[in-house]
Amino acid sequence: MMRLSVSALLLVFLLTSVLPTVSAQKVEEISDFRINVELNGNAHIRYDITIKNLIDNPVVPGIGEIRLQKVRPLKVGILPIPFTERRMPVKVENLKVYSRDKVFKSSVVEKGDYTAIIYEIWYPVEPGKTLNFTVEYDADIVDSGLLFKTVTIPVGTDIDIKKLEITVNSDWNLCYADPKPSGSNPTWQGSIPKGGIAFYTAEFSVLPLPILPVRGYIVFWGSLLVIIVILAIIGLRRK
Amino acid sequence: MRGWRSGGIGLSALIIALIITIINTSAAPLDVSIEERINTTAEYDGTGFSYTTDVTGFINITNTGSDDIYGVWVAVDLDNIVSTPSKVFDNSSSGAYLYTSLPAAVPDSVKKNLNTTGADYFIRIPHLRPKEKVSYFYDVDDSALGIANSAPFLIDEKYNVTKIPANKDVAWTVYFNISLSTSFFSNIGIANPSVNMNIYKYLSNDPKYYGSGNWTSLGPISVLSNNKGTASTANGGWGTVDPDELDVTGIKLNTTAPTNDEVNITFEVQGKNNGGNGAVYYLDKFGFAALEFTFDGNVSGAKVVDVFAYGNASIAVNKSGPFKGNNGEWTIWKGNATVKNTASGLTYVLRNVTLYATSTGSFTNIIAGPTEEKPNQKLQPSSSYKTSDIAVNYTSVPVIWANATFKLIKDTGQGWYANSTTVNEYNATYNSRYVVIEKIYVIGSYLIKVTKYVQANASAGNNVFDVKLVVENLGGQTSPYVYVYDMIPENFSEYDWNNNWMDARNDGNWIDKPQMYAGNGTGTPMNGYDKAYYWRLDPLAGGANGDGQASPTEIQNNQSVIIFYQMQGSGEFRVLDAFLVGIDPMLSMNEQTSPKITVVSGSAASSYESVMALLTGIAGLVAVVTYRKRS
Repeated sequence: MMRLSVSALLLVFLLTSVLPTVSAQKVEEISDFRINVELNGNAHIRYDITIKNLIDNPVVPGIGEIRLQKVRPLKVGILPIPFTERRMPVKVENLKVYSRDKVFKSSVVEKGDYTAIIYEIWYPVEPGKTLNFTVEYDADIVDSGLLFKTVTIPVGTDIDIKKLEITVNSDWNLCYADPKPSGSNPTWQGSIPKGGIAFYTAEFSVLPLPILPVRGYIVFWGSLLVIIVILAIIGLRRK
Repeated sequence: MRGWRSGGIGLSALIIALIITIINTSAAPLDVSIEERINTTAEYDGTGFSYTTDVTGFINITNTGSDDIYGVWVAVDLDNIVSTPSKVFDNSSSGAYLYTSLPAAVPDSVKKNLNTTGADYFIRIPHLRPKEKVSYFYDVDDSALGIANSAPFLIDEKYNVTKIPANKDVAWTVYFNISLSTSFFSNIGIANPSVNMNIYKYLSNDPKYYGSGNWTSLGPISVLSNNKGTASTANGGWGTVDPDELDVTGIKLNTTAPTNDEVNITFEVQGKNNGGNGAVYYLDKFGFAALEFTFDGNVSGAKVVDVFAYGNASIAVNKSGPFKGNNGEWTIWKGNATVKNTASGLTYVLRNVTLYATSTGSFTNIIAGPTEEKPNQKLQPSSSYKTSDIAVNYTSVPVIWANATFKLIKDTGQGWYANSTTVNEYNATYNSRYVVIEKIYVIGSYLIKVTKYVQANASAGNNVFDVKLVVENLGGQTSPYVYVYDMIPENFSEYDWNNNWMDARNDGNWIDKPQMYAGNGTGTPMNGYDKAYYWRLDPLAGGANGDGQASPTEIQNNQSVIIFYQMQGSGEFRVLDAFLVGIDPMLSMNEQTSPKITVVSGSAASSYESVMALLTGIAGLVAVVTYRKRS
């Protein structure tokens, strides 16, 4: 289900710039990480994160950070230039970090070419126990076109993610997903080891297209272009 | 120290010589041994040990007795090897030859007396004199056996600290555990392994010998303790302060009792690491352990199926006659054979003796016989077997022939015997190629340590306790902001607090020095605690000595900070519950340090729909314009 892509290199630096845990043993892991993305207008993203204490002493998670970055091609007007890229921070709004009735201190900071969501959890996690919390925000991560909109989500951490589930929902029709999803709305499950990164792509269309093996916008616009050329050639010959 | 190393090698050579002597004195005259050698590297990767194992084997055929041995055939079953065995040693008189099947020319006397069931290789040595030896080498298919990344002995090594600061002379305790891998032994079919082991632990700052040049000082090894074997220290030669070697010898591991399958060794190491040119942190090698071991059986499942061989013997034919036959003619001749074991230390089993007679002129003209006897009788040295007579009715003088088939018995004293052992691959420098590479985290930047003291304060009031949190930066660089968290147990309450942490040493809550205070807050405590606090401290300068005390100088230099508060117990309070403290950031001596969890996400654009749409639009426009112009 999870696919480690070569293009992950685009965002790997965000992880490699993070110091990994210096410990003879693993202190914590993300035992459950559920990501839900609603693609209606701006993207609404919700993380349900479960941190598990792996050691024999209580652990206070303290400060955590979620780094967000967009990778986009350079543009001339509204036209993207293939094979180019630029990295930029993600515009984050309506941030909330909470766990049931507790609201955690959180903030958004733009740091050069990425955005950091910083939260503080000063609640101890007892040995072997877990702590659940939720992060919600709106972000401009949707790649919108005329008839299609796409979201490609990279996910990685500096500790193990034992169970990962990503769901992307939209009121448009799902026409392409990578890796291949199990349902009409893409839901992916897997795990990511410490330092790993995975990419998940979903494309939706306003057109009633079925789920395609290749990107829907290529199929649609490519077919239209071929038809126009063929009709033009036929028309010119008849003349 | 190098001189001792030579002495050590000499001692090792002596021990090996003694072992060889013991083997020689107990080995059969025709000794066939399968010896497999394990070459394993176990390397610590920060969370545990990873193993790389390579097993090789030798088939050694040695005449350890005092008699010449002839016609040796050894049938072996080698299922899990990579390629055809190769001859690596041969000082036999005749040379040795390897076959993948028994050649057709092999006489029936051998074929009928050599069990070849399951054998896939056959070694032939026509003549093997005393002390002569033939060795064939084979490489075990570790991957096919599933042992390439496992090992017969599992390593568990822990330290009393999870990391040490750079540029500081520090000591840490090593808890070294070696246990039998029951799954490994089970996989190779050894249900109840019995292992003899010696462990040689070396400190090393030599990169050629599993060390790191970052250690400006390494050694000594001290404060030994072990639950099996005999421990002693020595001067290994790769540390900087002697003794830098720990030997634990005479260890016996088996599975007959729950604690018999492991050995625990504890020792203290002292060292000073230069920080690796300012690296933030790294896992640095500080030496290795070499395991010397032996156990019965082998890894690959190699077997000696059977051996055929014989030594010196004599066969004598006695012919008598002529005797008068029933027809009154003197045409009856009689003959018998005597087979004698003329070897001095070999016993044979006499399978058969055949007698027949030919005419004088043509030896292929059989005129009587053959008559075969199958005594299946042991022939000890100097003993003999005499057949019964055969009678030949022949008018001339016949030639009476006899031949015998006898083979060396399977016996450790006067025959052939096969044994199988597995040992470590030998290394002349450090005894064994079963190597455990040891590493410890060295923090080259900052390293925070928090020590908590809880002490009754009788002068302040009943059940009043002073709580002091000493925060130190042992590292060489300035830390980021430091968060210290603490919890007040149930049935305790804050005492003499004015919630002003800047008034050092004036009441029941303060921080020294106050200028380092950068805020505090509360959290929700876990079960058993009433309050949870955290304090934010300005970055601490590096260089504290890490003794858990904050000296005035360290406080003055911002290397150490004291967080102090008082609490008062009431009812059934438990002071023990107060011994809990936590810290953030991650480069900390405290185990309960929580790493800063960083999640990376965002989006990557990969749609060029607008480009495709534009191209389609342009194509349509061009087509329409062209069509109109043409029409």
